Amino acid sequence: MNSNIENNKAQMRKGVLELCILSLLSQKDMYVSDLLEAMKNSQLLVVEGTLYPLLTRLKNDQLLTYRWEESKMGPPRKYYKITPEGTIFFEELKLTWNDMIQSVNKIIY
Amino acid sequence: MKKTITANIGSMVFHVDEDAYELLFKYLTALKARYQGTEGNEEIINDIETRIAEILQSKINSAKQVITIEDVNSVIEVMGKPEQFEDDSKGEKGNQNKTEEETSSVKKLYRDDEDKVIAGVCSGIGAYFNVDPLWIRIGFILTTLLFSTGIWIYLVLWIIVPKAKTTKEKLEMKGKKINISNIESSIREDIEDLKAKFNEFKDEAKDTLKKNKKKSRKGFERFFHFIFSIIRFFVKSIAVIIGIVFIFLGVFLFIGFISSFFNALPYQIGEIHLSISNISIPALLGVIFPSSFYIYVTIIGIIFLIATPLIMFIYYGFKLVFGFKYSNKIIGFTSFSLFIIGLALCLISAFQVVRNFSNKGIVTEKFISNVNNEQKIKLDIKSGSDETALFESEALQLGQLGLVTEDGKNILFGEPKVEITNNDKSNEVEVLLLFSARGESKEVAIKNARTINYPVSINDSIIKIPRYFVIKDNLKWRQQQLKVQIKVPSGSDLVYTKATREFMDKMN
Repeated sequence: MNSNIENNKAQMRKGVLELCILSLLSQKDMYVSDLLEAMKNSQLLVVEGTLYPLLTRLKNDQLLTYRWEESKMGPPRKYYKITPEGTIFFEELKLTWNDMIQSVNKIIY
Repeated sequence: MKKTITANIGSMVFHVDEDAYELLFKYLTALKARYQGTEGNEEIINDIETRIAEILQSKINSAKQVITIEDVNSVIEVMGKPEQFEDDSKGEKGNQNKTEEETSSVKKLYRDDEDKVIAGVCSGIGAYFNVDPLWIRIGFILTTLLFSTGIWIYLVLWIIVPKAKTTKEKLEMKGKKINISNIESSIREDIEDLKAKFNEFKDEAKDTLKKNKKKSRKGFERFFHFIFSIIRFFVKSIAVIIGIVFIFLGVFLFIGFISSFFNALPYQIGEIHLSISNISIPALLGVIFPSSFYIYVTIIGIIFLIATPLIMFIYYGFKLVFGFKYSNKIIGFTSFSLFIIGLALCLISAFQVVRNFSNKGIVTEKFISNVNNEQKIKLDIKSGSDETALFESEALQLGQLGLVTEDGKNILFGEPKVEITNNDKSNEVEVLLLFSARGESKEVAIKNARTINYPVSINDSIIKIPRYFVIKDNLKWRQQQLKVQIKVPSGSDLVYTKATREFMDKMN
């Protein structure tokens, strides 16, 4: 029972996390730390480690791409950028999300 | 001095303590195992390593150049254990149970800020014990009806229980239910741990017999580690027991203390009566202090003086049982200040009481009756049987006086000192009453002495005096005393009744 709830929550967070990453990257290209900074205040990210597999998967699905940029502070950094496919996917996901929120809220309350 | 290892983490060079290196290596190995067979696993690990390097970079400066085990621990906390990663790589189902176990070791009490009526204490407790907060709230309301205990407990919890702020804390709060069996299981985990350590030590010892000296020193270290684990386990168990005792004792004394403020129910455990009398603290103070102002001062003083340590007692009890490390200097400082304020208020009141006892006043009253020569004189000292029963059973002793409540009214009473002497000069029976009392001035003292009520009757040769003197009106305890001097003509015999004889025997 309890583990089910936890599992559901984890699933929900994961789905929404993707949307958030795509949304942030559709505004501008970002370095992982920037992404983390932007999401720090939300409760979506329990531990930072969650983010990396997700980014890799989105990249493998060709929704994201990245480029290397030199950094003064240390080794070159990976800057993530959204691909045209990613933008289309994001727009679709956003529509679905908004529709879903509306209908779910109607049911819940 | 510690040995450091130079490590390349995410293409950056770090000096890492040996133990920190080991921990980090284990962590990365666990991560690799987690993503074994997942598409792009190497890339994930590389990204994580780069991020770790970035975090570690922020932890070193010119003053601190070496990565310590604390640094690595904080990195792991930020990044999360492999089991905490929420992603859909394969092996999800298999790992699910592991996740459950992993979070089960973290169980903490927080206040739930998102589901609060006042401060989220009840919903926090509800999440902690896995019950609907509504029941906790009802419980608090019910205990509030019982001498307002609920309010106090709520306030204490409000102060000592931290608010769940981060997501991690919120998850910990709702993570796993905590009840007695869980506390027990956590202790059992410790025992298991101990057993494992013991076996480890045993194996180690076997090895040592075969192998070289260097190894034996390690076995020796493990032995100490093992002993240390046993000690730690006992200390932990004792702490929990002491904590429970603290909580029970604290709550028990607190209820007793609070109930003493109301017209005191004589509470009882089994056969043991715990109440001394049915006088409440405010009633008692009303009898001692000259004005209601000082009564309030004293009540506030007593509350601070007694309730503060009791609340701290309960607080430390909870701290020991649940083992939360939340400590706050403000709590200690505040409670100490309240204690001192309470002490000061009580001292001010005590000074006032001393002032009210500074002067003594005496009032006399004389009764005379002529008797024939050689007539027998009868002395009868008695009081109504109801009164005797009341005075002897439930009185609260105030010096030589007793305080009782009858029909909601407070009465002070005391026993007179009776002296019998011969009257050589005349054929008169003389009863002289000397009333004395104290007050802030001579006049007030005399006024206080006049409050003593002691009806004497002399009828020919029969002297009737009461067993007790009482003070009913303008009730103040001012060390009232009564001396009764009876002068009997030398030629006459004095006869006692049975009750009188008993009284005289008791007095001498």
